[in-house]
Amino acid sequence: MKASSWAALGLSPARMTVLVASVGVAAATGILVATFAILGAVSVLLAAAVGVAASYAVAGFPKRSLDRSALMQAREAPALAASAAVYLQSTGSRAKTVLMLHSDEPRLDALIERARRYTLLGVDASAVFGDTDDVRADSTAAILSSVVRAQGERLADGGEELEGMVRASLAAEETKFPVFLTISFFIPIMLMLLAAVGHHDDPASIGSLAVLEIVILDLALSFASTERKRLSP
Amino acid sequence: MAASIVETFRESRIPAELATARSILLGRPVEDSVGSMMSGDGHSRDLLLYLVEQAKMDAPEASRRAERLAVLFEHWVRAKADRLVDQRIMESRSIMVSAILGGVTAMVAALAPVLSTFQLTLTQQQAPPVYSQYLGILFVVPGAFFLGMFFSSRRALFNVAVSGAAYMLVVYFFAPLVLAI
Repeated sequence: MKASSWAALGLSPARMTVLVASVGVAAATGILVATFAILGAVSVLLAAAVGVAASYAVAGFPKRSLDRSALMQAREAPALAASAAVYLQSTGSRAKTVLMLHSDEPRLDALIERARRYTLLGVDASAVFGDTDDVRADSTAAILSSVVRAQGERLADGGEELEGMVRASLAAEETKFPVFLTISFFIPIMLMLLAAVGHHDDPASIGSLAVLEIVILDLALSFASTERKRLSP
Repeated sequence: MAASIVETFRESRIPAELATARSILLGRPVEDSVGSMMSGDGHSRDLLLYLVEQAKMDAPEASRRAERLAVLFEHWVRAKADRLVDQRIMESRSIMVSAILGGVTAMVAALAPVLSTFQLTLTQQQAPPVYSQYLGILFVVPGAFFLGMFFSSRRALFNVAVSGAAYMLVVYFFAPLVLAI
């Protein structure tokens, strides 16, 4: 699932695999070096868990970026439909309509720019809109398809897809926030207890445990705030 | 059409929209009044142009489509307001959790001299270490910071301040009691 999002963004699977593995190994080694003297064999398990989580976070980055694009495109769909209808009605030409379209979402804007170039070169814009991974929202795809077929009467969007996406993101956020709250609350207390019971009273040991805490919290935040970042304007 | 525009934009904070509503109320035609809003290059301009052009061609059709769009946008404005309220509730919770985190960690830090005497293994008992209870704040600050970062960077600093203050207060009042016992 993650690999398909790499392909959609034009990232080389081999390079991404190397990057994901490198990040995982680097994170695991860092944790091992910082905590082995304090935690002993437990730090190996902890380092492995942190390495896997770091790899997953890097591997999932392209997919999160595509999901964000899909939501932005769905959010723009009603306005895009209305503006396309204006241009089609006022110009009566689908080529001119394609030339006048614009979008605030960078991936869609780049696609429209490519369609404009094709249109100016005399090539049918449907070749650009037809088979592309840049259009992530079905509602936007339907609007662009109507534009290239000059079907003005179908240029409308009720925001159903957007509503579905927003509800799904809100539900995921509602689930993840309490988990993140629990992690942020208990990790410092647990590490403080560990420092007290394990006689780790020197500043170096406490510093190492604080580094471990920061790494764990950073990973937890990156997983928990995915939907929040997607929903923020 | 004129009534709809005035109704929509009369309480707007954007000067161009407010000027349009005022101009219509002064009796100028809609097409002349919306000039200030047409200067931009965005979807709002397209939507307005769409409605004005539709009204000229087919007023009932324009009214129907405009109503549909208005309902849609109203729905999203309401959803945004609801989300803002939810966010404030979550922010309050995160501040409370930060304060409790500071307090609980401070109590653990204050009890550290007692906790460190517990014999958990069969190895020889080590001498109880000399702790500075204030070192525990190194664990509290990242926890509160990341909790606040979930909402915003500004919020993160506020959470850290609340958590740090709670930690200091509890250590200041609680640690001497533990040492006395």
